[in-house]
Amino acid sequence: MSGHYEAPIREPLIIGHKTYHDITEDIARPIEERAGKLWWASLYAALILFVYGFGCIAYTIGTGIGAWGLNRTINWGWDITNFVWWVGIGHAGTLISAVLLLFRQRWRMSVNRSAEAMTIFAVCQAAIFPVIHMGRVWVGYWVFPLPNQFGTLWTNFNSPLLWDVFAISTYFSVSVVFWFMGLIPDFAMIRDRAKTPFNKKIYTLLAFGWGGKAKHWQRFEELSLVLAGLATPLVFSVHTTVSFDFATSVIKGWHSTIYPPYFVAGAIFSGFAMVQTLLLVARKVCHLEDYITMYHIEIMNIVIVVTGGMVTVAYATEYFIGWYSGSRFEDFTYLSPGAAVGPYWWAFWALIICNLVVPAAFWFKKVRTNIFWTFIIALIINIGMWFERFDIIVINLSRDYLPSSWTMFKPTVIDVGVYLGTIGFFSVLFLLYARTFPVIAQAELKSILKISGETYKAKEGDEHH
Amino acid sequence: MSTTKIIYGLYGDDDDLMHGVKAFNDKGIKINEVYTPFPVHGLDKAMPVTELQLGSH
Repeated sequence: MSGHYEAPIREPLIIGHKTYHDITEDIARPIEERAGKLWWASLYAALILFVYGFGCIAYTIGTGIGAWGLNRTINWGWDITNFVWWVGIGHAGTLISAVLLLFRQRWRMSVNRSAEAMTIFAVCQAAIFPVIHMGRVWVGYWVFPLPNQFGTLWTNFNSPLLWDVFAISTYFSVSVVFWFMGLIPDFAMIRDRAKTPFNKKIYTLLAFGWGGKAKHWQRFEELSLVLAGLATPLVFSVHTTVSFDFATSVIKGWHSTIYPPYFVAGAIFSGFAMVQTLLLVARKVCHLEDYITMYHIEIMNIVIVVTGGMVTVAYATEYFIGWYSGSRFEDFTYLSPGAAVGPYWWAFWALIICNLVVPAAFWFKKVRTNIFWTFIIALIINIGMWFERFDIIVINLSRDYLPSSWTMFKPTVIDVGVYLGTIGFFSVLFLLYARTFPVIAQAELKSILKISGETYKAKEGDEHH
Repeated sequence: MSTTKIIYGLYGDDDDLMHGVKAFNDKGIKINEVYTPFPVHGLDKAMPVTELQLGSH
């Protein structure tokens, strides 16, 4: 047996009696076959949202951000809520591809490609919000510390908003390189099977002259490790920096020392929920049930329940401190006895129910090994994590230090449109990806077929009995 | 007349390939190149492939 030994008691990661060629066929099928009606219907629906959303963005840029529901008291609203939500979603991809590679978790091989795609597409959506929130997007490059002749214009290195620019651009570039590097051998496989000259041409360009020499593979594996090492700190740094946008301010409810770890845990929590949402559909549509197995789903649900537990502890801490401080202002923060019964009681309870109560069902093996409930709970977590950011921003701002300026936030049609537009844009990207990219890292997966494949594990088990 | 002989091998399985590589090494036959569709564990050590040194080619 080549490779490492794996205990027969571990669940197989590849189900069915697959040969190497079967894996090739299964992964290449969605790319080589014609798209089904469902795919076209989904693409059209996503495109409509996308076009509508970009109309709303154009309107915002043309009119100014007065087109949104912001007011003097609540000066951050859906924009930053959506920004943090999208950035958070990306974290699962980096965790799966980088951290789990360093920990040699083999189950990552079936899900890393799509999770990384999700990361990159989610970061694209996230970046839209701070950019359009600037109002004058055409001077957006002022965020970069460029040499300039504007006199007093300098980037403010004390501002976490600037750190965000660096954190997110680094995150995006490292994620793209990591993703693309992993894709090269798989693009080469598609290239070698391509029948039409056009496809051959495109995949030849994408495959960067990959030949599959022993030296190529040695370099490939070495580089994966280096990039995983580079990307691992990013899993923690990016959302830490996002949390600094709030935590370094002097706004009650934001000025909290537990924000960085709490935000990172929340990001992974929401990211895995989005991975579940996407993969449960993708495995069904692309017929990948043998590769993304119940074991994969269950193990991701366990990650959700662990990170959800961390988030629960953070919520409990915030709530307790809100009460224990005895400060009147603390009683208006997003997690406080005041918020639970205040004008935003519905947002408060949406957060508690979606993020604390419902995901706790994953403690039961029956629930976390059930595809239907996994999908429903993952959707609820996506909603709950959106509410978390909405609560942090809107509830905290709605009652500032001057009761005469207390007010509520009403999103406009444009607010809603921009948000739906990013969901559309994200879906367009993911749908195109699912039809043109190998959605599973097949080369890596083949290297574990004899270790974790069902057929081979059964043989191994027989030898031991 | 040159006495250099070139052997081409085609393997359908990574375990057979590794046995082949070992057999060639034992006989002192130099392995020029191996092409595989996926990374084969231990192949780089068995051939051997020169280690990655950043800065050189």
